[in-house]
Formats: sequence, C-alpha cells, structure tokens
Amino acid sequence: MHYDIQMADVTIEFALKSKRVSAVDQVNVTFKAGKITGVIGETGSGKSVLGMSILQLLPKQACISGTCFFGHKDLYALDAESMRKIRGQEIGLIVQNPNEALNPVRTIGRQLMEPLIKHFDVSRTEARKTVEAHLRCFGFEMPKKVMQQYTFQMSGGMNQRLIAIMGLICHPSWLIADEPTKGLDAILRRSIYDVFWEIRQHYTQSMIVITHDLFFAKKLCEQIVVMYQGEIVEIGEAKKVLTTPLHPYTKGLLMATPKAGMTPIPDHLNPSHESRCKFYSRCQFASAKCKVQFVELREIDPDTMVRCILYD
Amino acid sequence: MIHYFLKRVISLLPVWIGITIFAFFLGLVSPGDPVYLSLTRDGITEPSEAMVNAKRAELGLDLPYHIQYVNWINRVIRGDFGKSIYDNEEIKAEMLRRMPVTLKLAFSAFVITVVAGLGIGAVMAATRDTILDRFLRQLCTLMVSIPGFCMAIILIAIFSECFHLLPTSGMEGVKSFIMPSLVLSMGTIGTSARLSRSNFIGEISKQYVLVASAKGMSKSFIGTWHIFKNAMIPIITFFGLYFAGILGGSAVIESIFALPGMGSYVIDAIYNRDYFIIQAFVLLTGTIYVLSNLLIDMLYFLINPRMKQGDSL
Repeated sequence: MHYDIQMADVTIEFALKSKRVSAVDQVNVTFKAGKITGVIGETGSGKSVLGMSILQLLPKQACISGTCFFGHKDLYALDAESMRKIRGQEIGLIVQNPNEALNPVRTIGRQLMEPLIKHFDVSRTEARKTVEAHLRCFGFEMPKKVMQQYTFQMSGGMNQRLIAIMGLICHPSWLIADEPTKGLDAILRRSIYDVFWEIRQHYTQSMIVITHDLFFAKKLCEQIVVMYQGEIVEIGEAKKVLTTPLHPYTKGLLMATPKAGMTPIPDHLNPSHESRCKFYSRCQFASAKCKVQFVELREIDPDTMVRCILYD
Repeated sequence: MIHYFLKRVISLLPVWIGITIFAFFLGLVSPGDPVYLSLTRDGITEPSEAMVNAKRAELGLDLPYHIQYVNWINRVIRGDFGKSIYDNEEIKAEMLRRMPVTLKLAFSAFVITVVAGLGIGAVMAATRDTILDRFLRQLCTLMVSIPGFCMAIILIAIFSECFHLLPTSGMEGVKSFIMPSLVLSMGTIGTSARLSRSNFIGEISKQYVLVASAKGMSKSFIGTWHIFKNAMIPIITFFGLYFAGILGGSAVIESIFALPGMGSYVIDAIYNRDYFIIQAFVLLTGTIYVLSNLLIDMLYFLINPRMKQGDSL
C-alpha cells in the first residue's frame, strides 16, 4: 500500500543561541505516491530541511510545527522507535556527498546488510544474498569483492550507486533523494541519472528529489515544487513549470541556467520591507499592488499553484 | 602486515639507539665519579690513587667513551646492567624483583584510565550540553588540575585516616594498589575523557551517522558499531603514549605509597647517585616507550582499513 506524504502548515525553525531562524514557513504540500516530485530552489530555500524533516533527521535545535501525514501516521508526532521502523523500511534516503556518506572503517557489505538484519530479522546468509543481488543490479560485477572493501577504495560513481542501494535495500515505498547531483562533474551526473532511472523502473516511483539541478529535475520528475526562502512559490507539472514558469522566481531560476545564458536574478530592486511577498525585493514584476496585498498560494488549474498576485 | 611491521621496527630502531646513547651519556655527564663513590660508600674508607685506578680498570671506565658505550651496549643487550654502586647488588635481579609491582600498578592505572576515560567521554558526548555534561566537564578539569602527590594526600586523608579502609603504604595485596593506581590515572582520565568527548561529538556530526540513522539503525547500534571504532583511532595514540609515560609517572606515586616497585628503586638511586641504576631505568622506560609506539602502530593497522590498503600498494 503506497500512501501519499501530506504536509500541512509545516513551519520549521532553528533555535540558535541568540535568535530563531526560520527555514520552512507555512508549507502545505502533498507528495503523491507513484510520482517523482522534484523540490527545487536555491541554497538556503529550505528544501533540504523540508525533506529531512520527513524522516525526523534534523538536528536537535530544529523546532517543527504542523503535520506530516504518511497514511494515518503523523511522522512529526512519532516516537523514536516507530520512526526508526519507518526509516529505511518505508521511506528510504539517498544523501549527497557520496564519498563521505559511508563509514570509512566498516566494510561496505556490513553497512549494506545491517538494515536488512535490523528490519526483517533475516539471517546473515540471506542478507548477504540480497545485497549481492542488488549490487549486481547496479552494475557491480564482483559483488563479493565489493562487500569486503571499504568506501575509500571505491570511485565517486561507485559510492553514489552504493548510497542509492543503501537507501532502497529494504525496498521502501518512498525514497527521498537529497541533492543527489550536488558537487558532481558532468559524467557522474549522467551516471546518477541512470541510477535514478533504474530505481524508477525497478524499485519505486514514489520519490522526492531535492535538487537545484534543473536539467536533472526536468529529465526525472513529474511534479515540481519551487521553494523560495522557506515558502512554496509554485507547484506544477514538471514540463509546464520548467518550460512555461509562472512565478517570477521560477522564471529567474530558468534564466540563470547555462542554456539560457546564466542571467542572474537581480538583487535589491525594491526595499524588502514594503511587501509581505518574500521575493518582492528581487522581483522585476513588482508593482504597487504587491505592497498592499498578501499573496497566498493559489490554484491556477487542478495541477498548478502559484504564489503571486500576477495571477489573481 | 609483516611488511608493515618490519617497516615500523626499522624506523623505530634509530630512536632506540638514540635512547641508549642518551642513557649512556647521562651516566657520563652526571656529577660525581662512580668509581670514587663506590669505593667510599661505607663512609670511612679513603681510597688511594692505586685503588681508584684499579677499580676504574675493573669497571672499564678508563677506556675511551665510544668503546665504553659499545661494551655497555654489549652487556645491556644480554641483560647485564652491572651492579649497584651503593650496595653492590645485581641491578638486573633487583629490577626483576620490582618489575611486577610496577607493572601491576601501571596496568591497573591503565585499565582504570581507559574504562573511565572512554566511559565519561561517551556519557558527555551522549548528554552533550546538558547539566550532566557540564558537571562532568568541570570534574575533568578538576582531575587534570590536581597534581598526583596532592591527590594522593587527599585520598590518604579520606580512605586511610578517616574511614580506615585502605592502607597508606606497603604491600597488602590488591588493597595496596587501589589508591596508587587511582592517583596515577586521575589526571589522564580527565584528559582522555575530554579527548573522547570531542572525538565522539566530531564523529556524531559526520554524514555516515546520518546515513545509518536513515537506514533505521538504532542509536545504540550506531554508537557501538559506527562511531566507536572511528572515534578510537586518535584516542589509541593518546592511550599508547600514556601507557609509556606511566612508568616515569609511577616513580613519585610509588615512593609516596612506599610500594617496592621500579619507580621507588630509581628514586632511591637518584638520592644515592647510583648512576648505573638510573642508566638502566632510563634505558628500560625508553625501550618500553618504543615498544608501546610499535604496539600503537600495529593497533592502528588493525583498526584502520585505510592503512591496509597503503600496505598492499
């Protein structure tokens, strides 16, 4: 049974020594099962925080309010033990920085086998067999040898594939991928794309892909959520959002890609305190109306939502 | 493995030779003529020139320094440290008699340090920034700050004078080792607990811990199987060097608690200007230092797979 992940009124703040920093602000979104949803936005837009909050993997200083329903369970309200059972088994995670994501002094085999043993209580022999099969599936021709090796003996691409296997070894119904292409060169990015295609074909189609790689998002995702300063500014079908964007910020993002000539989004166009719209200070389409009206995320058509008065 | 072992041995050999030269010249540069001292130890005899020269020739001290050194090394390698100037006893026999006391003391102090240091460190890391963590951190600073002799006096006052639980001095079985080994380990417990704390905390924030949690592994599993081994790598060095250092540190403690170990032996020798014993002690502790280093390197090799790869290349 595949459930949707439904977030309602999610606000996440970090309690720092002197102040509280808001990372996610009143987010309402449903990640639909069977669909790959891409969450895009610049660094600091809160997209990773939003993704990690689903698995309760944020640091202690994070204060979360709102609900995140997965079936009938509110993931934010679960106790540690119930959450532990969901992690890896029902919702898997694929992290960034593959070369640092594995324990350097523990064999790859052990690290891949331990979730199977923990979640399904299988014997070591069975776990080993499962891991070998997965390694083969992801292009490792000598799985027995790989299992005895360590992460530093692998190449970046191999580590990335291992991280992917790590996330899906227990066949979770959902996968969250946190910036899988961050900091990788073009060749590796291509191999990541193949990895995700493989996952989509054979493992699960319910995925949240957090990325700022628009090309990657376009190729892989069916739905796109655009975040800016902790708020969702646009939700829509991937093709639509990435070819005919509605929100000025999404337009700016697309203009900033190499293909479009890397035009940066301007800064300090308008004094930011004049409007409650967070993008107001950088918006080329800002008008007097922005100063008075507070803009909610509103539906344009059944699949599309945008937070801008241009579409009132 | 064997290749690596041999490489380490070869690289440590010059260090050991350096220690022997140092120990030997320590005897040469120290004030007082050992020949004269050994002949006048009863305090009555005033030796004649001929007697001094005869004794000098007997001990081989009339030869050039480098030949003296070679002769000394030759004897030392066979385990012959010569005789005490003061009481004419075989140094080797006396050392062997006293060695077990010092080793027992060193080992019990070492075990206490490792268990308490790692334990307190782990508790502090797990309860980071809570009141317990702050309290333990202050306690650690306190433990490091109190000198051993002072701690010894405090413990004697509490456990011997007040409660009459433990003996203040001498050998009365296991009981006699409790206070000395506590005092000997106290300062290092503080340091090693702080070190373990920061190492554990450093590892907790690494990404592999997040990945392990995301796989659904429990906190205790991650702590035991993921973090511990990684955090141990730098801590092992510290403990290894500490063990080597205990022997020197035990000298003062042994003499406070009147334990008949190597430390009190060498302290007496220092008072009596018994240079051969001091030489032997310096050489012995130096050798143990080198051997501990070798042991650390080998442990490193076992715990850190990155070294194995370097070896196979």
